[in-house]
Amino acid sequence: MSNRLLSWGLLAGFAVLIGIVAGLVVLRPASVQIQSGTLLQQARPIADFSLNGSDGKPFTKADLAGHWSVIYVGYTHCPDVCPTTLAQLKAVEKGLGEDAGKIRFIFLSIDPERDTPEALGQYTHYFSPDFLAVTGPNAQLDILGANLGFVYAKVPGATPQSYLMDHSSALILINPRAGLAGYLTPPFKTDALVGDLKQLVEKSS
Amino acid sequence: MRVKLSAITLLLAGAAAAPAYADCKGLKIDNAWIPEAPPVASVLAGFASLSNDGDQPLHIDAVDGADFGSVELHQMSMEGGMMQMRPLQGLDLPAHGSVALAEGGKHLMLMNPKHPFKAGDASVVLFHCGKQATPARFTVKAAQP
Repeated sequence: MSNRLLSWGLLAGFAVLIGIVAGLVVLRPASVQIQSGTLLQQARPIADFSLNGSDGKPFTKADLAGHWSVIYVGYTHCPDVCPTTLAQLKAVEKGLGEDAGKIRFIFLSIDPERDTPEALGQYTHYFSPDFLAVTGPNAQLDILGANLGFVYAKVPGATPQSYLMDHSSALILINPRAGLAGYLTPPFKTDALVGDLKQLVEKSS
Repeated sequence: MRVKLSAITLLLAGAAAAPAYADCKGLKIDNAWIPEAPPVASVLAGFASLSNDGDQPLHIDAVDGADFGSVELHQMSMEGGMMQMRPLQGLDLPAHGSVALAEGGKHLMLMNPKHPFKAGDASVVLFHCGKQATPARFTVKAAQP
């Protein structure tokens, strides 16, 4: 009799143990490690915003849902780093092969005064026809900046037209639920970016 | 005497046609290039290696080119994750010294190109140092990521 009780006790203990282990495995967040930047432990929700796409349509939070997004903040009057980064993103897009269709690359201009959506689109599509180009009023850019953790500032230049823009240099990662997932930080290496993005896309699908 | 006079006349005629400058003494400009940019770009970057072979320091106080509305010198820097650009008031080249205009550092801002440039095109840019100026031929190349 006592033997039987002991067996039941052992079985119950074993079941609890299995439950704990299973719970740990199931509830543990997918451990994705990236080389090119940092992933947030938990994706952060983004408040609603309304920008303008180069296609003439509004660009809102809904446009970030359903796929991964990589946002690059810059402006077209930046001749050194911005075109180099866009050319690098083009190489990354190519390196992703079929997975490129699961990621949207977005060039976000923080210089709406000079970058009209149309001109911004022509500039961006020179690098890849699949890249999105968006900008919008400063008030909306500020809302998005506060949510995504980017900043920008206008700096006077030699003439009123040749002012400069300081801006955050990290690439911003948005997950398919339109949440802020993390950042990719320079110096960017094409192969590492491809590897990281492939991993994110595959682990989340 | 006669030969000399006609030489001077020729020189003057040349000067009237286009402003001719004596070269900045000791200034050498190598590997001058422009990364290819979208045709709609209103600013192009200019990169080059500048060196001063002379015994006197050189100060480049202005840069211009017939193909551009204006040319400025800028310094790019990364400060706490922020990309920053600042205009420079000229460039100083110590005697037997050099300065690199390179990606991610000092560069030329070739503003308002008068026509679009594509890989293989070239443009002459003048580096001024006081009353002298040295021309450099910049070739447009595809930017390498």
